[in-house]
Amino acid sequence: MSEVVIAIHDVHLAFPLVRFRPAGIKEAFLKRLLGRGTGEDQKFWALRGIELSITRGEVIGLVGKNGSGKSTLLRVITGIYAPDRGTVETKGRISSLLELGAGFREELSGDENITLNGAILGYSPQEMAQLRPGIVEFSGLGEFMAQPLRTYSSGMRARLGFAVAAAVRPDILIIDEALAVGDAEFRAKSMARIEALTADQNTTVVIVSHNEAELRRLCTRLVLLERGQVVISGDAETVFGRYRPAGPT
Amino acid sequence: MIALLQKLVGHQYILRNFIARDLKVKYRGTALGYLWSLLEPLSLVAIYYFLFVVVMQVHDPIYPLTVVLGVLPYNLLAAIIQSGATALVGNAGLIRRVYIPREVFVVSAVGSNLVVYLLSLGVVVPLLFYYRIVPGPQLLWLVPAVVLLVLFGTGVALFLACANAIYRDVAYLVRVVMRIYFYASPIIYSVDRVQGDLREWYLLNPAAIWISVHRSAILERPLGLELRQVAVAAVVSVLVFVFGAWSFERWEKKAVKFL
Repeated sequence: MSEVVIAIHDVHLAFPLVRFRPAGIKEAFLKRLLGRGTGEDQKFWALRGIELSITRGEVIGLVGKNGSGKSTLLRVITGIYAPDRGTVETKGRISSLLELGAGFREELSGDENITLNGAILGYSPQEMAQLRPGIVEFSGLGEFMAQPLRTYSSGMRARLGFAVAAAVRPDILIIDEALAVGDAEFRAKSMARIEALTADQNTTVVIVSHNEAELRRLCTRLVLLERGQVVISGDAETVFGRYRPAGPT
Repeated sequence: MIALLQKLVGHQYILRNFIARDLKVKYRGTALGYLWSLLEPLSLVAIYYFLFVVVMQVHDPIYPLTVVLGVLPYNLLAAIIQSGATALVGNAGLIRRVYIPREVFVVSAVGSNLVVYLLSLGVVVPLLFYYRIVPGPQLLWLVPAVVLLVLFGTGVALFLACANAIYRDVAYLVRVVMRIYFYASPIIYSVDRVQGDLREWYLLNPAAIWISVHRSAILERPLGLELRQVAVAAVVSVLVFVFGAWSFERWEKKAVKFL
């Protein structure tokens, strides 16, 4: 029996709707005065009762249409958003790659960004200095490490971001479409890295992707989301029988 | 409270990184760099010297120094409150993309302002030489005065950081209020000038007490306050901090959704 490392129970998450959001104290006050309630009454429920247990060593692929709640669910797992209802429990250190260049600073060099990213994950500059050779080698950015990040292409950012996220050997690795911008070589390399990380069953991966081939190769289980709910969870055949991501096949 | 400390210790590297970044950004592209932290309060000395000593003929030879000793802690407090209030909104991009305990953003703003304050304290040294004032053991009072002032400011900042995320008006309001607060605190005058019924109320403002303690610690002058009044300010400062930390924990989750 494997250990559950991510336990998501009945998670609901609502966002305040911007068009109903009071633009300031004046509007809030007026609304209250007029008895129409504050902007809080108008909500968009992005997640509606998600149930999901993920055990150590699993590679979970989240699929679903745009707006189905995949990215929001990843943010709830990393702790960016706290659920309005329900619980999320995670075990171990989480490393995430949610958006291209998240946690990077444009004006800092590649090297300084490694330190910054490490610090975000809770690693000291010394620890990151030890990991640096592996990160530079994996990203293939050796000669660009002293250049500011603003001179990097999106592919280079993805390479650096993934290299850092994977180098720290997280217990849970979370990736949101960040690999999509890389070229074929980089994608193959990063998939191999994910496979290596999960080979010893120590790292758990949750990935959002629209690439069917990639998901088939990497994932041990797929989860289909629709309107903020888990519709079906199972192997690739089961889930892709129900839903096929748009795009190249 | 313990949770707050645990978060800060667990994320000490990012905290240090943010503080270093703030300081670098502050002086980036300037030829004089850190000297600006001295020149700014010095320019105030010049203004108040001209205004009060030359024009209004105030007969207090060290008046410019007393003003500087009020301006420095006030600037520290104002900077903490203003940068703390915008700490979440200003880092929205990062907050939405990676998880870092949000307290780190407010506390790093506090930390970098504290460093700027300590640097700007350097301006006092030549003035003390000029006026031939030698600080004595009373100087030690500087430590609790600054610590409690910072605690008070951090509490306010923690509260305002979430409030400003939900209502962006808050940042503007703070700017107005801080301007009033400048004159409502003993900076260009001393607390002895506030007498009568008003005095007890006036001294409930912790900033008034800590600015006075700060000043008399360096000038070796009698404080002119009762111990009771100082004790009340200490309690109020700690309570404001506790309230700020509590309110942050309470509202942070909601505030993040407005970023």
